[in-house]
Amino acid sequence: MTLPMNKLYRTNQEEQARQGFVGALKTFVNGKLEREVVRRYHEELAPAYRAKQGHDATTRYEAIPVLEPDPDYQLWCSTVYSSQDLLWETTGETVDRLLPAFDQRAAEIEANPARLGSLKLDPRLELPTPIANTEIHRQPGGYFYRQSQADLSAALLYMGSVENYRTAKGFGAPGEPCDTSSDKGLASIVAEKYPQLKPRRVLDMGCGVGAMAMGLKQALPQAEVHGLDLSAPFVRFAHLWANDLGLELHMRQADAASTGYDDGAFDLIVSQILFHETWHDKLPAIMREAHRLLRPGGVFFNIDTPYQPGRIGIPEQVLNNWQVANNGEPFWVGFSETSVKSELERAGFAAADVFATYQAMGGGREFFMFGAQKTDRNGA
Amino acid sequence: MNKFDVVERTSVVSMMHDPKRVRPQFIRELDMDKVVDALLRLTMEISVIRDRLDIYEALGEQCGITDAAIESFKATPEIDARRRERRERLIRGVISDLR
Repeated sequence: MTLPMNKLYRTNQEEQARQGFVGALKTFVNGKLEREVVRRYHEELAPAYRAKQGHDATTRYEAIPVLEPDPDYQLWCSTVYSSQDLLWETTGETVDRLLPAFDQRAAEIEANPARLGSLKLDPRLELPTPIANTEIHRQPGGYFYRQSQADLSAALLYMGSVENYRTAKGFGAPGEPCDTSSDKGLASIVAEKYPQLKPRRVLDMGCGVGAMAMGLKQALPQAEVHGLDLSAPFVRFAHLWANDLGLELHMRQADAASTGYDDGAFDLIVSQILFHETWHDKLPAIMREAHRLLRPGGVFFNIDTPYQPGRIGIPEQVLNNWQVANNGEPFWVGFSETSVKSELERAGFAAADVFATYQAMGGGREFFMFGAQKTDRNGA
Repeated sequence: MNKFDVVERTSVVSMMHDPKRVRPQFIRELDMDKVVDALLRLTMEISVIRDRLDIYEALGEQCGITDAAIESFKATPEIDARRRERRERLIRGVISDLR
C-alpha cells in the first residue's frame, strides 16, 4: 500500500528551495515593489497629471495611461508576470515527479468498496464558456485539463500552488499540505453570526480541491457535507484526499447554477472565492439556485476578494486591472463591480436578511463576506 | 480509459515551455545594460553558493553525511527566517538593478 495522499505531497530540498524563492519573489513584487509604484503615482505621476489636465484622475481609465509609460510600473508588470510563470513551473516540477504515486494511491482508494462518502461525475456536463476556456491564475491547462479521464494533474497543480502561496505568506508549516485550519474557522464565523443555525446538511459551492469542505466536516462532524465544482479532476481529488483523512464527503461535478439537488436540501451553503473566478453573468443564476437549495431559515455564506473599487485607491485599481487583463483573473472586475446585496435580493432573499461585510480570517487577511438567511415563515 | 493508458504524458513543466504560450512584453524600452547587471549579479551569487556547497559536500562526505540525510533535513524556524531574509536581500538587489 502506498502512503496516504496527505503524506505523499512532499517537496524535495531542491523543489523547496526553488518554491521558497518564488514565494519570496512574489512577496517582494506584490509588496514592496507594488507599494513603490503606488507611492510614485501619488507623489509624482498624479501631481504631474493634475498640473497638465487641471484635474485629478478620478477613474482607473484615466489613470491607466498615466501609469503605463512609467518604468517602475512596467517593471512591476514584467516581474509579476515572470513570478507567476515561475510559480507554475516550480510547482509543475513537483507535480510531474509525484503524479505516478498519486495515480497509484487513487487506484487503491477507488478499488476499496468501503471507501467513505460519494463521488458523482457528469461526463455529459457542458462546461460554460468563457469559464471553460479560461486559465484562471494562468494555471497551465486550466482547472478542467485532463489527458485522460483519471488525470489528477490539474487538481494536484492547483493544490501545490496554494501550498506555495500559504508557505510564502507564512500561513502554514512546509510539509503540511492542504491545511484546513482556516476553513474550520469559517464554521465559527458562521456560528457567531447565526447562533441558532445547527447545520445538518452543508454544501460547498465551487469547492475546488475540497479544502474548505474538509475543514467544515472536521468542524461539524455530525453534518453531512457536500461539495460541488465544475472541474472533474478537482472533485475526484477532493473525494480521494478526504478518504485519506478519514472524512466522509459527498462530491459532485456540477454547475453551481444548476446543481441537480432537491429544493430545500441544505441548511448551510458556503462558497470561497467562487464568484471572482466565475463569469459575472452566471452570478444571478447561482444565487437563485442557492435560494432554491436552502430550507427556510437556512444560510448562504460566501467569502471572496475585498477589491471593490470604492475600497481601494486609483493606482491599486490600475494594478488590479492589469491582473484582469494579463494574469488570469478575467472575472475579478465583473465581480468587484457587482452589488451583491441587490443580486441576493433579486435571487429571492429578503432585503432585511441580506448582509455584506469585510472581516479578517485565516492569517489576519481581510475578506469580503456576503450572503443571506432564507426567510422562515414559521419563525424557526 | 485510465491514466495508465497514456503512453507519454505531457509534463506540466513542458506545458510551461510550449511556444504557443507567448510571453507578452511589458517593458517598452528594455535597458539591456540593466539586464546584464542583474544577470551577472545572479551568476555571481550562484557561483558563490556552488563553491560554498562544494565545501559542505566535501566535509559532509568525510563525516558520512548521505544524500538521504540531506533530503530528510528539516529547517528550524531560525534557519527558515535566515533563508527568507537572504532571499529578500537577493531579490531586492536584482530588482534595484532593473529599476
